[in-house]
Amino acid sequence: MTDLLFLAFAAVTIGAAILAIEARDLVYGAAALGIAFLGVAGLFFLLDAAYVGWFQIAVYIGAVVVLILFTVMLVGPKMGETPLGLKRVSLLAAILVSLLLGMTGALANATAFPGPDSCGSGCSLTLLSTSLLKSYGVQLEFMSLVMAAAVIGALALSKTDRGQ
Amino acid sequence: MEPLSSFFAVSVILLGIGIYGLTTKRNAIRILFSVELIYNAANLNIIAFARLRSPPLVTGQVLVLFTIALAAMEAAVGLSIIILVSRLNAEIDLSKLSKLKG
Amino acid sequence: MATSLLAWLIWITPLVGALLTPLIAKIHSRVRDIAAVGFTLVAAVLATMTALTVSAGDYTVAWIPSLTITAGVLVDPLSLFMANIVAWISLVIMIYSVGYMKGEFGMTRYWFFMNLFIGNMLLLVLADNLLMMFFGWEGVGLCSYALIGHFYRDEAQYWVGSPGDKALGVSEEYSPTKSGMKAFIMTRIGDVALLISIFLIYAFARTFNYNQLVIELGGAGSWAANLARLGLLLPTALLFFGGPIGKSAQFPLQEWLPDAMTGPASVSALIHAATMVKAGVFLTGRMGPVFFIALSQFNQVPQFFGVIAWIGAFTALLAASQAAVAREIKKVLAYSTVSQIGYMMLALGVAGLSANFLAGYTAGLFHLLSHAVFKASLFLAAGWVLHVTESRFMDEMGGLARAMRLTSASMLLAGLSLMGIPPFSGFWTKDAILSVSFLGGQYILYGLALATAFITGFYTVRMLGITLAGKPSKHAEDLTESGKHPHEAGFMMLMPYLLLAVGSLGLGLAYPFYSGPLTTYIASTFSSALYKFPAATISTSGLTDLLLLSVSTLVAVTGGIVGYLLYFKKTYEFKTDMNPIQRFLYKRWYLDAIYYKVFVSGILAASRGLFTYVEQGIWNRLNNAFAQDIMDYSKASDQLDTQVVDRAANEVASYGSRLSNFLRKLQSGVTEQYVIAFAIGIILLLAYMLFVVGAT
Repeated sequence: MTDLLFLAFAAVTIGAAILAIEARDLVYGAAALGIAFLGVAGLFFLLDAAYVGWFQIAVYIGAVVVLILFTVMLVGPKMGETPLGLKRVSLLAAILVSLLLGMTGALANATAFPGPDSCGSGCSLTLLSTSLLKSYGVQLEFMSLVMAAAVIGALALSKTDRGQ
Repeated sequence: MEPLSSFFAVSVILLGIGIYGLTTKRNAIRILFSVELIYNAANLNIIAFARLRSPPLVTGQVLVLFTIALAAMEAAVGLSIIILVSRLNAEIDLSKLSKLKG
Repeated sequence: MATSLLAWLIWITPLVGALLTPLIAKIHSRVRDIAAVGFTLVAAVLATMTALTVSAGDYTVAWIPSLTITAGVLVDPLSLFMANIVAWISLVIMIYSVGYMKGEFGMTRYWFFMNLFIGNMLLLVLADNLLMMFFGWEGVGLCSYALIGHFYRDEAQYWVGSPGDKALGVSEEYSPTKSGMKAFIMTRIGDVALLISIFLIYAFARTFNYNQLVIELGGAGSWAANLARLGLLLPTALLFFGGPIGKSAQFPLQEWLPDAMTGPASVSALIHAATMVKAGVFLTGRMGPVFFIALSQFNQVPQFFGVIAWIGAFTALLAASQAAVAREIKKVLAYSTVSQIGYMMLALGVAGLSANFLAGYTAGLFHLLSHAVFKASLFLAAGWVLHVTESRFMDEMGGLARAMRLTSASMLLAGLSLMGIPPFSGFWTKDAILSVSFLGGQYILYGLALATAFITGFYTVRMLGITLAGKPSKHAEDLTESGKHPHEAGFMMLMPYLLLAVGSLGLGLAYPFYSGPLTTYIASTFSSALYKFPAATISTSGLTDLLLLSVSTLVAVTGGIVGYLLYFKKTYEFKTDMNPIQRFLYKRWYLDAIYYKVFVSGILAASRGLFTYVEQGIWNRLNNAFAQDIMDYSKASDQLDTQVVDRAANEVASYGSRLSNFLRKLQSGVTEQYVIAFAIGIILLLAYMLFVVGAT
């Protein structure tokens, strides 16, 4: 059962990712990106990281994808890109990526990764929350500081040319 | 249960798609897509690797929570830059934005 | 923790205040100004509260646990003495700034850097280890750069140097941006030496902590012993002193300070009285005793402290002589600072040479205190004079005493203190330095210091005479005619320098009462048994003391009288045709010009020469030689077509330019190329793991 689920999620993720990069229309691309995020969230569920999965859905699909869609609307869907003049770059990229995949595959074969043990209490939400708020409390605070800075920065950026 | 190597495989494929997008695309928004895909590849990798130990390491999940938050911020700032650039230049094709180049 | 938190907050408050300044500026500019002063006020109050309530100790928290490096504040009499001077003098300057800088542009930047400056200085003073100290040290350098170049638009009125000033063909005029850069780069030379020394110490001692460094000196095989075995102990100490030489503008790195006058007067006051240049004296005071103990185990004390004392004495004389001919009022004060810091260094150096370490040591620190007070007062008053007369040249002032009685009075009081006239504070502290060097048997140093005292008396009176006495100059009369009468500063600007001037008198009057307890207080820094100082009571008769006092007073007064006769009686006019001695002094002993010739022009010339001779010369010659050989060969054999040869030669010649074009393309700014490079990197890494690591 989980194998089937894994295959489904993996296929959805990879397919949607390719579509996100290659779809001609940016709006479709953004939608495909959302589906890819959903697939990754599914894989998180399979790895017993349910909270992270929900977090992924909330942040990526709820916030990032929506933000991207807004931007596409604001910038104008017509804003495109010049078609790639150099086929060489595409070819090079394809070669590089296939090299990457091949080598990682070879490495993964050489090193046998066992299937994960059942999780038990190691994946419990209690453990995650205590860890997040106690062991990593300071880091969490810094994260919020960074987040505040990012929000202020984003506001400042979009405000500057109001006068022009 | 699926062996962890399958998860790694998905992660590497995502990374490959991301790199492909970064190299071949020039639309700033599309490049942002690629960056987000690479983020997801990394996140998936971290979560999967955290399961390698028994009992699993909870640090992996905490780290991923942080990276997701960071990615969201990066998207927010990046998108506001894109909006600003498009307003100033009527163009978001990165190969044509060379004002900052010395 | 509870009480030590006070000590932490002393330096944290101004730093946080600096960061908040841009935010507060959004509310209202008035709120921003008041808040900026408020942060310094809090720091000053905290410094005093710490001195009163927190018991001495090293309050640490973990910083880099893996290297057992801790962060901490060191609360001891020395650091509190210094922190209080820094914080309170800074506060006075900040209050003055509110009025003085009103309406200038870039005020948010100004307040930001002022508070950052003060915070970094307090960090430097209170840090309990060399690493944290270095953060403050560099922060101070950065802020000085930003503040000296505050008027970065380089309007002519903010320049330093008379128009057309040249020495050896090098322009002696400095714009704010240029002198800011100069200050930054020159002090950096010393900082590199300091950093090398810090890391040498760390490499052998495995700690940055001051107290730890002293404790570890006790055992056999201490860091000092290991360094000494390699012959590195004395070089380490001397490299360490390189930092103070740069920061405190001592010879041979003194040249940045006179040009640093391009900043606002308040900034000059801050740099000269409270922060920057005092940092070097403080650091020498902080590590001097440590080095004393370390060096005394290997009988190398006289070398190190001799260098300090001689550099101090020589700098004092050098800078004083330059002050005697300077044309700009702020430049007189700047040279005077360099000279007075030289006195402090002399005292700290003589401490190690004489039979009683603490006598010289406290003399130096006392002079730091009295100098901080009177120099801040002089700079702030000079700032107002500059503002009123709209000129930086003393020959364009004159006769200000009538219209500006209080400003003139405070300049007079502070000036008398600078000269060392009893009963001002400068008298006592300078005399302490002089008698320490005399009683320590350093008669040549004493002679140098005495000569400096003479010139100090001369240039102080000269400055006062030209600006305050006599008839108004032409420039001043023109100003009056155009309706700009010289007038007294407003209350908030007048009070700071007036109070400081009166304070200088008060400190002098009270000196006999507080000097004893304060000496004991500072000496208690070194109460631990680890500090083994020579503390022989130098037996002197009251008559010797009296003699020394009267000699130094007499010398200063004589200098003053010469100045009075020359400059109070006559109207001073700046002449470009000077006699050789004057010219030599006015051109700053040609040191600045020589530095420029050697280091700036020298390096430029060297790189140009490298280009001409190596790149063009050798490459072309190689190519030509190559071509020539083939030509000869072809002629001789009559086989090769000359065209082929030419092409070959051209190929070789163009090789260089193609290589550089290729290198240029690497930095293309095109994202996808970077990404490809990054992907290739990953693949190489994977290949390494697969074929190299995996194979084994």
